[in-house]
Amino acid sequence: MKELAIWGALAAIACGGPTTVPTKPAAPPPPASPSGTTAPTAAGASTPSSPFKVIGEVAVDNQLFAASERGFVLSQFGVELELVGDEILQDPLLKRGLPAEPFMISVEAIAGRWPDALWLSTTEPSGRSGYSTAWGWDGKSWSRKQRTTEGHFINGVQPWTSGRMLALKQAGMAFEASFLLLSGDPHVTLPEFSKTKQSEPFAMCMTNLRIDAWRALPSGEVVALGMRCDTGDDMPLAVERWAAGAKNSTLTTLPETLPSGDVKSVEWSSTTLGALSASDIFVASLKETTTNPGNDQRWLKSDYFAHFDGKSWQVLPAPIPEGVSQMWVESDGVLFASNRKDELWSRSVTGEWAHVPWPELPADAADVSKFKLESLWPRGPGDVWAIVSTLSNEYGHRYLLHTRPAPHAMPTEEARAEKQREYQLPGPPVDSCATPFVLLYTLGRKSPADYDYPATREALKGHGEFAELQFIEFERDGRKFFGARVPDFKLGKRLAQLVQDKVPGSTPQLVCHDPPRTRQLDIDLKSGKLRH
Amino acid sequence: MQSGRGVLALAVAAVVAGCGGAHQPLSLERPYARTSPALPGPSPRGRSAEDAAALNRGCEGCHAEIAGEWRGSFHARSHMDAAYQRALALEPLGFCRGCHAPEADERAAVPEAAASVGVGCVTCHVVGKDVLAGAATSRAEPAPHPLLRDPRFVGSAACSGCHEFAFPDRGARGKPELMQATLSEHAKSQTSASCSSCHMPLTAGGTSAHRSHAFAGGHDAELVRSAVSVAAERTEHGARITLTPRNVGHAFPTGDLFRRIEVSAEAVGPEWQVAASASRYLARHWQRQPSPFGVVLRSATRDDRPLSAPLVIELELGPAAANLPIDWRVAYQRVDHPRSEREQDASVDGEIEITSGALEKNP
Repeated sequence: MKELAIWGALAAIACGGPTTVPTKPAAPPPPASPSGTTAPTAAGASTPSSPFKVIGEVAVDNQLFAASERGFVLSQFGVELELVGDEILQDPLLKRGLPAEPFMISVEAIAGRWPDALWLSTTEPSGRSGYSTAWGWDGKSWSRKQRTTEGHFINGVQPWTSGRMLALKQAGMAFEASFLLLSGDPHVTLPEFSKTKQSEPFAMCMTNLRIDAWRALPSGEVVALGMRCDTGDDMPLAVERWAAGAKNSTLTTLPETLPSGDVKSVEWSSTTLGALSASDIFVASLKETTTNPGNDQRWLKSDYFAHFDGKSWQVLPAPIPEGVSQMWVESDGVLFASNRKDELWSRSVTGEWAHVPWPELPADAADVSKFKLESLWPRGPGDVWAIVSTLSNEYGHRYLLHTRPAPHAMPTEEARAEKQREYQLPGPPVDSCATPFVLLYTLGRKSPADYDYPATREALKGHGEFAELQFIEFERDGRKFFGARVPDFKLGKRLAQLVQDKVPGSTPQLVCHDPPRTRQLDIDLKSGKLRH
Repeated sequence: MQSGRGVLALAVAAVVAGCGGAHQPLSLERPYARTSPALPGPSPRGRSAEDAAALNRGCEGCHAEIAGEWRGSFHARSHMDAAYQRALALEPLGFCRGCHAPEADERAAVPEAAASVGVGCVTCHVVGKDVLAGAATSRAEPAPHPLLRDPRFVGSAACSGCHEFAFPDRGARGKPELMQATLSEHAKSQTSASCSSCHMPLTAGGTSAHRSHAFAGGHDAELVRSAVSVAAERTEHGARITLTPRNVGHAFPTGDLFRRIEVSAEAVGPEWQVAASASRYLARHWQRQPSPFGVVLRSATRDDRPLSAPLVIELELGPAAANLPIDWRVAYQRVDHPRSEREQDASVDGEIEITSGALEKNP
């Protein structure tokens, strides 16, 4: 059920950054219609230059998220980069606290408010489904705060009223949704999803709605969009809305979403929500109808687009070509939407739609037919981040885009890997360790910078079996250490025993570690002297 | 009745008007009255963050030298400080914001105006419509705006609102327990000096003489190092380190409940390797204990911080240290937060080495 917009919903939240002025459309807008939705400026009619700049290449699993004013580029292993202002920074500490064996979890998203209410969500395999864990940032590391029961997943964390953080939890294989308050003053009425009459355990329809997208508004209202479960085989789109401070909701089946006439069934995908306010909500979905005139079944795809004006829902023509497949909201009222061709469009506060062209991508990745918008974060006017992917020669590429130039170059993949290693803690000397290490000494605080270990070199003299070893110094937390990279723990154990026997007061340890060296000593094992 | 905002406008007008005009006579000062004003303390301060920021700019406009000192102080960045923000991330309580962003409503996110003021000029000096000041000295210039002279303002009472307070969980705890106890420690220390004597020393001279508003404290290496004198000597298998308080009027360290002194010694082997080590933390030592109401709460079990008498610490390194030199060290540590009941696991935000030395191996 990950495709259930687990954190696609979150991307939409993330887009609610505090901004004040709409992004200028890249092409001149046509006049607004009375409904506030105008025919779009045709994509490609003219080719205006893109407001986006290619900032750099990121890994193929990277996605973009945001927590208040700060953006985050996430991999399945955790936070890879931070977007602070226009800077792209790496803070290896942002992976601290997560399991040392990263393959045990999959980082899904980050959300909340930096730095005091920051939440990370992971899914972990368990049984046939798995579960979610919400991790809270304690300022220096992540710690587990809440986990769901098996088969239930956190589907987004959003800022709510008075600094609270609201999360949506729902079952992966059934209709059972509820809200959790992750942080903030607990003295508040939580919105509750309307329940069906199926109250027995493991019922498929515990709540009426299976949520594809939701939004908590700072004014307190909450909106959720999804398919109804309590209508038999027909599963129309519906919206559940809560007034500020309300526990009970209003559940509304959206118009023209139930089968009628010779339509046998309707299925929905790419369902997305753009809530500008409690009385200005857009929904979009891809509608697949199966008609059954006699035995001649036919399938038809069409775009569904509707608007809520605070009183009623009205079905509208899709405002952009190729339908709306995802929406993002800027808090000042600008709406961004992508379509099935992964083109990006923006809707100004006065309702004009305009195409936002993508930039030219590096030549080796420019297979336009495989272009895909992965995530978007409209932080503010003229300040939009995106990650796009392409496929070229079967190799995937992802690029971080921004509408403003980067003051400093994004750290390279190699530089990021090196910096991450500095922060890794030693692990136990298990067989699966790829980087066996012998930690020979923790050095005294007053040890000379150029100390050359005469007693250790004397102990090693004549031991040619250690020729492959790298003797290095490294630093951590202001302390200096001396050790050796070894090809395997068997040889490491011999080195540890030799040094312990020959150098008084030493107690070498076998660990799994790959520290970046601050100094390397090239020891001639025949003479025991240093090679310079 | 005049609204709070209206009262503030009056005060702002008074301060701003005072800036450009000739100094007014001392008659503008009001003596400490029976209706004593509230002293500095946590929010609410009875005004909006924007009003506080505007008022604060008025103070800074005239009192440039003092404002410069304050701008560099931890009072000015009480809410912006990274260590505080990390702690707030752990426990995002309005209770913390009350003192760290006193010009904001502690129940809501802190607006930029209040964050930038921190504990501002207005926080301490403007209470309601009064501009508070200490008792007049012979050097005092006539004030250009009304002043309310309150002798309590130069005493510890002015600091107590935010430097001595209980855990915000009295309901669960049964009886209150102090989270910060600097004023109580001050009372026990038998010192006659006031808070401002050390933390707001007189600066400059002549007509610009004033008490420093840099608020030197636990981040000031010179002040921290002056708090204790340290002597070290060898024992058979370790070191004996004596800390004698000298220039401190409260337990050392004070303030945040996790601050501590690390006293450590390491026997250093022939390759400069640490052959044996021992350390001790002088602090309030906290443990999670069940309250009478069945809730597990952090509670102090022991307090071994130096207060007024010399403190002797024995560090035992074992026989391995007998024939090795010993490096010793005393450091003041600002702990972000503990990671477990083991004090060594604490996440340390920063430290100041008070002193260190080496003891030769036993003859």
